[in-house]
Formats: sequence, C-alpha cells, structure tokens
Amino acid sequence: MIFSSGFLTLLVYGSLAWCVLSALALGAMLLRDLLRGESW
Amino acid sequence: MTEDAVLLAPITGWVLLAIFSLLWVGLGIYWGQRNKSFEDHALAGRNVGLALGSATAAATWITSNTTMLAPQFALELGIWGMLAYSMAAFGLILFAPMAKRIRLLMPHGYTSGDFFRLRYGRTAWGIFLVFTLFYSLTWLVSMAMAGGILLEALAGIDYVWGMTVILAVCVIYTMRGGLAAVIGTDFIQSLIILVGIVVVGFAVLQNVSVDQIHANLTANKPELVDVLFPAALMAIFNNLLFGLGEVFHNNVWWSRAFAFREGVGSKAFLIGGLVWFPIPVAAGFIALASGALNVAVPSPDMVGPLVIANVLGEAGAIAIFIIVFCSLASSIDSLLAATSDLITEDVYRRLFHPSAAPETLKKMAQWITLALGVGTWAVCVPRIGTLASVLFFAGPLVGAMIWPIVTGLYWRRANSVGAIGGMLLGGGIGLVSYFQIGWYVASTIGTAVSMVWVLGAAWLSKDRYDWNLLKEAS
Amino acid sequence: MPWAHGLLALLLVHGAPAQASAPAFVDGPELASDTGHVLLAWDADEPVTLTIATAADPGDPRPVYSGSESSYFLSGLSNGEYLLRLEGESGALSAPVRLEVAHQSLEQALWLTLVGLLITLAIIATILKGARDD
Repeated sequence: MIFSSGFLTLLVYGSLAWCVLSALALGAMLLRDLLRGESW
Repeated sequence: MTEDAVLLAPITGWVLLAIFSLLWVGLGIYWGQRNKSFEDHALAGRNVGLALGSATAAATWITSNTTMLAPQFALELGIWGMLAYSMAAFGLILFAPMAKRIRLLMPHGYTSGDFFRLRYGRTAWGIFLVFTLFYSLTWLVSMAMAGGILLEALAGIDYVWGMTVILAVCVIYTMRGGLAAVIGTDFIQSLIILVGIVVVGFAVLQNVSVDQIHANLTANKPELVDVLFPAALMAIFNNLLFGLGEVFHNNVWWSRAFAFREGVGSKAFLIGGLVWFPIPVAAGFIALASGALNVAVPSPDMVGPLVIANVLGEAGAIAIFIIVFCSLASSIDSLLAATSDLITEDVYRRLFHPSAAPETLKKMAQWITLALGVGTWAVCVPRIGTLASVLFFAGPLVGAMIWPIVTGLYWRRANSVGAIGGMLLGGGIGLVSYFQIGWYVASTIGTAVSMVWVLGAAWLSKDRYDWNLLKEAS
Repeated sequence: MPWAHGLLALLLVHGAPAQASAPAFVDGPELASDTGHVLLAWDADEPVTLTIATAADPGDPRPVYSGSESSYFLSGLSNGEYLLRLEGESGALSAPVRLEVAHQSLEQALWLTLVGLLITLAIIATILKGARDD
C-alpha cells in the first residue's frame, strides 16, 4: 500500500501555501500590535 | 560529509556572515537598552504581545535540525518521515493551555526550575536540573557544531572560525539584549526562514513535478512511499513524545510563558505551533526530489543544500546559507538566554544568594551567558562527531518528565514520590531501551514507564497540594 | 640510515606502473540494513559508475550514480537482496557487495505506534480536562 501521487501533491503544495499564509499572518499581526502599541 | 560540497565562495559566505552578525548584534544592543532589571533581562517586561510571541515560539522551535534534518528524515524515512517530524508541532500546541495555567499558578515565577522546587521539593528539583541541563547543553553543543559544519560545507569557511563567529554573535546580542533581543530577532528570523523555504520549494517544483518525484520514488526508492514502512511508523509517536518532553520541561518555553502578556500565552503557543507544523514537509520534500533531479547524495545530511544548489545555483546556496544561519541563531540565542536564566535563578539565587539584588542578578545572568558560550565553544572545538548524536539520549529523559509536569500542573494528588520515581525509572528504563532496542522506541518507553509510576503514585496519594504554594513572591 | 630506506620504499612504491587499480568498496562484501538505507563508501582512482541489481535479476543492473565522489547514500530500498558494483571509466570492475535489506518487524512497529497513540491521547485528555481540585 503506497501513498498516492495525489496525496504527495496535497502535502507539498499544502505545506508551501501554509507557510505563505503564516508569513503573511505574522506580518499582519505585528502591524496590528505596533499600531496599538501592544508589541511588547 | 564530503570535501567537495562547497557551494559558495568563502568570501561570499564571510560577507553574508558579517552582514547578519552586524544586524543581530546591532539590534541586540538597541533592544537591550530597555532592560533595567533581571526581570526585564530574563522576561522582557512580562508583556510580550501576540505577534512577537507567536513568532518567537515558532522560530525557536525551528532549529537547523528543522531545515537540515527534515530533508534527511525525508530521504531516510520517506513520506511518513516528514509527517513524523511535523508531529513535534504538538509540543507547542499542547503547551498552549499549559502556558495559561502556568501564568495563573505562578504570577511571580521565573523558571521551570521554580515550578519543580515549589511543587515537588528539592530532590525532584535536583533531578530535574540534571536532566534539563544535560538536554539544554547537548542541544546547545549540537547547534554550535552544526553551525560550524554547515558553514564549512556551504562556503568553505573553516569549521572553528564559523562555529566561533556564530556563537560569539549569539552570545553578544543575548548578553546585551536579554530575552527582548532574542524575541525581536526571532521575529525577523522567522519571516526569513518562511520566505526562504517557500522560494526554495517552488524553485524545486519549477524543475520537477510532484508526479515525477512520485514516479521516481516508486521505481527506485519504493519504501519511501510505503504506508507500512516499519521504522517510519515507529518514528511518528516517538518523535511526538520527544517533542512534548522537550517543550513541556524546558525553561526556553517556560520563560516565554512568564514573559508573554496576560492572555497572550496560550494563543501565541497555539499559533506558533500551527506556523511550525508544515515546515518539515515544506523543507523536507525537496530531498525526495533528489532522485528525479539526478542529484547525487554523498552524505544524507547534505541532501537539502545539494538539491537547492542544483535548482537555484548560487542564489540557492545563498538562500540556504541565510536560512540555516537564521534557524541556528534563533535557537542558540534562546538556549543561551533560558539556560543562563535557569542557572541564575535556580542555582545562583535560590541555592546560594536568596537576597541578591535585581541588578546583581542581571549581571550574573549576563556573565553566565558568556560562560555558557565559552564552555560550549571549548567542547565544540575538537569536533567530536558523535557529540551531536548525544542529544538523542535526552529523548527518554525528557519523555519521563511529561507526566510529572502535566499532573503537577493540574492534579492536587500528584506528589514528589510520583515525580521522582517517574523521572528516574522512565529516564533509566528509557535509556536502556535506547541502547538495547533502538532510538525509535526510547522516548515512547521512557514516557510509558514514567506514566505508569506517576499515575500509580497519584492514585495512592493521601496528600493534596496547595496551589497557593506556587505563588511565591519574587 | 632509516630515512633513506623510507625514501627508497616511497620511490619504489610510486615508481609502479601508472594503471588505474580497480575501485573497491570500503565496507562489505556483505552488508545489512533494517531501514532500507545505507551509506556506501569506496576508494577509486578514477570516476566510477555505481550500479544496483536485485539478487533475483543480477544480469540487469541499474546505474545509480556516475561521477568522482567517493560515497553515495542509498535509501528507500524494500526487503530483498541487492548486488552493488562499481565500474571505473577504464572498465575496471570492483568486487560486488551484497546488501541484504530486512526491514524491522511491521507487527512490532504497529504495536509501538498504538502504544504511542494511547499515551498521547492520555496526555491530551489530562491537559484538556484541566485542574482537578479533589
């Protein structure tokens, strides 16, 4: 029983997209914290 | 490690090293100016917000192991190998509710050592200190060695020089800037790492499709796509439990629980864990492409950089250099800070000088940071190869601490006998299983044995702990 | 004069005819792996081609690597016996190495996975259940 090519495609593209989202989210969150003076 | 693996000219490597070193040290000095007391130095004012909190949780957990070992894991253990590695994200995710509980129970707390001392007494505290210092110091040594080895393999920079520069830079900005510098630089480093991994990943996919990778694996490395690959299956939960043990016990994470603003802690760890989760797959899959790309792998620990250099040439080599430097710095700085704070608070202050002034404690922490850096440097210079693998002995030790910590935070019935027995039996039997059976069972067995003892002791216990004892004034 | 003897020996050895000696694996001739991966290392005077064949079909080797490195990491191999060989550019052949891949017990692996899963679920349950003030 092997992992299908479709599954591997999902893993690879999914993880890359997730990383992009993470970077954008962290950037947006910092912007919001800085504007509110709540960074640290 | 082959001698031919130099991908960048040494001068390029040195220039990159210089640019980033100046950046981190400059920021460390700048942010260090806001630290007045030991509390500021060690806990950044106890007011870190959500964005910086999430980024530092993710970045600190992204070590050079994540970016360099993930491809190696993929090459050795295939698809399950990458997923097994991702399981370590649960360390952060499950620590999220615990961070909230820790902050609630110990509003004046500094370290995980404080918890063990107050919750379980001096014997348990002593055992904890031995386990955690063993883990922290071997982690520090393995990171520093990895730094020297990688800079040499990537840019031909002599091992001792490369290792020295990385350590020196981290020591300087951690000494000067404390946890604030660590957290601030972590944010920048996390973005660089994420962007770098995405760019590299898509560059690989420009050269070869997932279908081609899959076909190549099926033909030449069939076990890597096998759902029933025994070694990889065992790695799934062994890795997960190793990760839980690491995060639950270590002051790197407890210091953040104390440093984050009220209400931020659990969200920051959850987000940090979610940010971390895809990285082993995003960074690791490129190793699976090595066959389809016809990239020869003379040594498994170089598969990542070799594939990247193949698809991106010098730009790729620069990218991996920067990604690795950032992931190393983001972990070494945290280890230096958290370990020196642990030693300052637990050993210097609580054992020897209980009435030391805050100003003295801050200075002590800075000196201890320096001492840790110098000590690590001395151990790394002779480049004893097997040292890096000593870190894995810590698997059963940290696994054995999971149940004492979790029950200690939530159950009044959890007691010292349970904690001491759990750590010693779990750690001991786990270590035996490491050598007798294999690395892939050691954390599982260590945790299992500890669990049975801790639960048994709690069930039989007549004591009920008073949570107020944890609210010791600082 | 011992140093002269040494010098003479050196000259004699290096005075041998310059013909490529056959490449040779560092380990072997029998290797075993329980994970399907192995790091192969060899000595060779010239670029080599590493080939692998299944013991069931030794006449049909597949080239795995060609070049002047002196090691290669093989991984992802399923259960079975494999024959590995090096062929130099000049045609010189190495002695073959027989690699036996016998993966760990699947049954043991599944049991350990189950144990790990149960422990993990117990940890999650304890944390989510929260404080017990009994």
